[in-house]
Amino acid sequence: MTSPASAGTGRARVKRVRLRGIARRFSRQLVLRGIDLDLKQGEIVLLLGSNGAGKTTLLRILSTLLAPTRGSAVALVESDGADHEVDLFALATWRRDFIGLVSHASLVYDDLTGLENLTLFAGLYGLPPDVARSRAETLLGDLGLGDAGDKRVAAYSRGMRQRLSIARALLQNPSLILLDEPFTGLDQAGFRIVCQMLRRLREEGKLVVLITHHLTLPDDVIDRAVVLRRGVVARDGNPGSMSLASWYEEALA
Amino acid sequence: MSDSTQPVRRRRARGAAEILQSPAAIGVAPGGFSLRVKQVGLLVYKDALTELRTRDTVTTLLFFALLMVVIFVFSLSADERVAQQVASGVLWIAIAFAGTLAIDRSFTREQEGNTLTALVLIPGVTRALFVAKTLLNLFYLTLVELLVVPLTLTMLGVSVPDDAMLCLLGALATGTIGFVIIGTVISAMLVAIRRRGVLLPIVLYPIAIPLLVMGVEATSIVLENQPLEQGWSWVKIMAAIDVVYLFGGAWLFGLVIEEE
Repeated sequence: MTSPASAGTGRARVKRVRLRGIARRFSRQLVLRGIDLDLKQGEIVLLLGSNGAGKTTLLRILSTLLAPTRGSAVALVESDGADHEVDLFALATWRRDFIGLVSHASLVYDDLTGLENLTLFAGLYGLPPDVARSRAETLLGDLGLGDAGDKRVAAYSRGMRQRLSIARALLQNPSLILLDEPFTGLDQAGFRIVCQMLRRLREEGKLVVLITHHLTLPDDVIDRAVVLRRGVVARDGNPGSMSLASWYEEALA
Repeated sequence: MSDSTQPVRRRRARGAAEILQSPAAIGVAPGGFSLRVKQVGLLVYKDALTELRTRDTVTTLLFFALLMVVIFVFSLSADERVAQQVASGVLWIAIAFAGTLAIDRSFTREQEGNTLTALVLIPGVTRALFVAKTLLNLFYLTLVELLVVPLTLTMLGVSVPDDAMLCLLGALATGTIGFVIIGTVISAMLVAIRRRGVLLPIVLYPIAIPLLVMGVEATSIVLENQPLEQGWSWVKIMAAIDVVYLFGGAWLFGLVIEEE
């Protein structure tokens, strides 16, 4: 069976992303004012900041759906068995399936079932039908939706929809995973499932960047936290023995 | 399918680093033609499955077209000469209005779940999406025409000579294809705009009017038993416009969707 990693040809695996001087302006408002960050595989990076700090804008730039007004984004990618440095946006002009994105919106079709949604997207990524179905069923099971696969998404709760959205983002085995508020609407069981998924993604060597206001994440889920304040990095590091909430408040003080 | 060999154009940020290595040079490439064909099939299947479950587009379209034709026909005099003169206008008004309705709805589901964002992350899917949406809109308009054309001609008592049938079909096909192509592109352009339904006809009609006028001319020639050579001339011009719309539309659609 073809693994999702080998689906299609000419795929790239992102191992590191280097952002330098990233700025983004919307009309007259400068939302990002020069972000420098180095992100590497096997790392789960939490973006923190108050509303309007620029977290979602930075995530959208990392997703290559939004170009920065100024600055550079360089990726170290593995392709054809060798490592190469390429401009992230140049890479995205060719293919973007190294990116798995969970956004505010669910990005799935309400009139299809959960399983139909996943097999559709897997097929669009080029997975053969049997592999697509098997991958979809595995992800539905991993995210606690095994029994809901045959239900239409319109009947899903907010939390189920969120978990389906995460499953969709992971279908093609992306190496750069961007999650905007992945815990929204999740109950305790859903929260634990997603935390477990994040740990697994780190073990698989993925680079995960997530935004959340959920400051009670287990210590072993986050490797690094980056606090944005008025479009610049106010603090970047590991909270260590401090609680995430205290570390964050200290950064904003 | 140009995107199998060419990257999508994107704006580069000011001050961005030069490309250190070209993605093509390191073996990164979008999927090939067979993947595009598969993507078209999947996208058509998805929309067809959704339509079978909801039946909202087909039902609305057919009732709308039926109502329009019936109102037009009953408001016109029964004079045979008048009927011959107005039949092509009635047909094309019904096709244009029902087509606008179908085109307007073609991106509704993508807008509801914001699924375009998920789709643009998939290699080469924008061209496949253009082809799939165009094929679906063509299918919907063909259904409308299968209802509207015989109904209008029968109710107005207009007959089409056997030797003119092909010319009539040619006029309907070339006019419909061009209208659907340009409508699909414009609908994609307006997908992020809240009042898309209002803007679509305002943007679409000025661009589509030349094609619709040619369609009316060609159809009138057939229905009024004028020399068919003139009708075929219009059909050929419309076919040429369709080819321009097709290539221009495929190129524009990629840009429009990428910039959403």
